[in-house]
Amino acid sequence: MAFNRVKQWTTFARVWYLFDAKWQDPIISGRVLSKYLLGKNKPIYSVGSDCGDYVVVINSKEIALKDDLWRTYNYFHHTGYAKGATYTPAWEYHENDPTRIIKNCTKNALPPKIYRNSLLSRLLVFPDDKVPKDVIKNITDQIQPSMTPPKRLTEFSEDEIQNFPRLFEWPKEFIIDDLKGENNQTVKII
Amino acid sequence: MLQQWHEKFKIRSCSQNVPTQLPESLKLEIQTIQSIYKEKVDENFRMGFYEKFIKDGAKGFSLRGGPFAKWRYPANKVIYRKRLVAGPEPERPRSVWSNWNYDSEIYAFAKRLNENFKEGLLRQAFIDPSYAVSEKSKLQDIGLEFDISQNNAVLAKEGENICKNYIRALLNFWYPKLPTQGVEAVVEFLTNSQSMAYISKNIGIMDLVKTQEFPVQNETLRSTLFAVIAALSQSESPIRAHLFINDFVVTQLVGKDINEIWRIENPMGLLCDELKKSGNKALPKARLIWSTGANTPTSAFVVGLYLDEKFLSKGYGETAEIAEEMAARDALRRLFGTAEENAPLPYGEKARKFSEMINSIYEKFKNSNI
Repeated sequence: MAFNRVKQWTTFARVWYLFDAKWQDPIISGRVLSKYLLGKNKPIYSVGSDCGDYVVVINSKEIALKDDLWRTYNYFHHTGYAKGATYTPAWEYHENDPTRIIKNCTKNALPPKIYRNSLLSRLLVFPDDKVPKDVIKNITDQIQPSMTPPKRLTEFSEDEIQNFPRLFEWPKEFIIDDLKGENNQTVKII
Repeated sequence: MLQQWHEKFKIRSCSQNVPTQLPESLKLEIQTIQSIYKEKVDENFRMGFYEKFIKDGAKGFSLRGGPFAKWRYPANKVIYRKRLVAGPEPERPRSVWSNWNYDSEIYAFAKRLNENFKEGLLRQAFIDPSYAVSEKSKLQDIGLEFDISQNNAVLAKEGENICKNYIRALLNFWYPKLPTQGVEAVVEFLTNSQSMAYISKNIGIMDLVKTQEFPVQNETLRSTLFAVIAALSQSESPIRAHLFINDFVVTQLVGKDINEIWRIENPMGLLCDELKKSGNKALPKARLIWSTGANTPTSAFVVGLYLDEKFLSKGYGETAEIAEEMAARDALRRLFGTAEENAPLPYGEKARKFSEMINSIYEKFKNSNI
């Protein structure tokens, strides 16, 4: 009774993926995500087939642009009227909406066709790791991030810093900006 | 038929012109003159479009006035309306036409199947009991006698037994683990009126069968096919009838799943019973293996069944409950040896090798049923 109905149920199901965008380049990760949205990771993919997957992006607030692009890269917009051109730098663009840059990069990586918007509707971007429960229940798999996030100096514990291998120790007189030491007279941490 | 009509038309045209109240001498003169000019008159003046079309063919008339002549549209319109009023042509049996020859058709039927039937038996197999009753009442009025017992009722019963027992034997040989309920379900599927009528229509029994009703119903087609099988086993050998069943009836299983034909309502209960029979005390446990989009309408669940922490089967579905049910079905078909990885049933020359072994099983069934 309806046994062959579920024969290829999982091949045609839309899979939900999770992607952590912390310390990730949005341009590179946009190229990766576009393949999942199109369904190019599947063996049944063909140009006409609508077999794209869902991707949930978290921590989009903490993406990393390369070089000095936060300052130099400008997003152009024209209102259509005279003197209507605006150039917003990437940092300002990101401040207004932290989910916007990664959406834009995946959109640019997708083929310039009308169905691009329907594919983008399957891309759910959240600025931090607070995701609604209904969405988390759907997720099954994770997309491997292309860059490993580096460890910051503040994330190291004091023991790790002190036990860090050194060739020699500077005398106290040679350390100018010893932030925690006694010589600190000029600089203050707020 | 057309020639007859042509002659009638000629005679009528001549007889109308002959005046009735005239002296005989004048009559003779007129008749002689008409007999001389009859052919010419008919050819030139009396001959209509249809007659000339028969004589000369399509030459000169098919495109008279061109393909888009003015008269074509209104003429076609009238013909179309007449067709609508008259309705579709009624279904008639093939034997209504004058070129129907029953003897040669029966001969051709046996030759088409490449079988050596006894002609008397084959003729008897095509006579339905309803036809025999009506035929007797007709012939009694004339004064002739007709033997009612010459119908296919006995042959059909025998053929049904042969057919069902042979399919049972075949399924027992190829699927030894399949329980009797499943075998009976497949036998019923193969020998129901719908599938048997499909076979007999395509062999050509529908034109040959003698019945009172028209169009011929599926059940009469079914019984006549059984009768033909019985006639084959009596006239040649039962083995020949078995090969006939293998080639025509069992081949209806091609492209069909036995697990779908046998509808199990409670697969989990049946699985537990089967495992108890085989001596397992533990019951199968269901575990979720994988799922996506659990909150969406296009969700997918994969549930696995484990017996004593060993993998049994897995199933798919839009909910976990359906996936569990499908896993139970998967386990059942693995138990019964009807899973997808099993080879399909062989037909034709490949099946001939196993016919002796299947026949030996058939005789057991035959003896048990009697």
